[in-house]
Amino acid sequence: MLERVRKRMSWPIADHTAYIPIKVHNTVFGKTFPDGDELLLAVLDTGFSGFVLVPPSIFNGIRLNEMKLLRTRGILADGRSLRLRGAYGSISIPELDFFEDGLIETAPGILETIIGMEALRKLRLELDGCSDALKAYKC
Amino acid sequence: MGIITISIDDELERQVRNRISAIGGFSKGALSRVFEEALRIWLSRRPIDHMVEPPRRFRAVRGKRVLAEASTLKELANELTKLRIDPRGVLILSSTQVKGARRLGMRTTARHRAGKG
Repeated sequence: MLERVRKRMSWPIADHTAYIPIKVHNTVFGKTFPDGDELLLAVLDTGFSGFVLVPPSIFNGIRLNEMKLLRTRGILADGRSLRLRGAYGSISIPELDFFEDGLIETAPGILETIIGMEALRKLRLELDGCSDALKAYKC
Repeated sequence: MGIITISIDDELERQVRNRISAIGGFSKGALSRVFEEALRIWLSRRPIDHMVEPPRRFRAVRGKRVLAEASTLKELANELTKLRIDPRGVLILSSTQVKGARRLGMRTTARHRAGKG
């Protein structure tokens, strides 16, 4: 039976930055960050065309570094290039019952978790600047 | 004119009726116009992925040999366990290619007045 009302969430926009509370999974090894009920605040970045970018500590923490890695390249807004390495994993947004597989990438010096356009393909998002809120639900 | 009987969530119906009242009150056909507009917006959207794109596949590859294949990573992990293949010894690829370089946005942090230092 079709779910009649889709789960919809609204999160506050803090300091001009929209965050989405997520979990990052190494689905192959069965490792998740963070553990338990805690969630990781990922910066919503529509300027990032990838799936998810995480700091090396998280990447290594869920043992993605133990998998055979793919090498990619990131281009910053000023044209500078950054070497990225990645492995396939998953993210979930528990509040939306959302789970999606994709390439999780990292690079030395990355300090924040960034959620990019590839991860948002199956979500409808409303950035409401008038009430400083990010609203989201699944397609 | 087509006539469609639909059932919607009570709360959604209440919100729609309140909104119509707030922007000029109920008139004949007001509710139909709202639903017509909603349907036009829905039709203008791209169809959901599985209708237009082939289903995604994940493959565990060693050299040129595909050792396992599945539609999700979870299924692929189960398949590797079943085949007793160490996931560390295979390269996992997706049928959805990584297209060229990633564009990375830029963030501003502390804002200071431009000047010396």
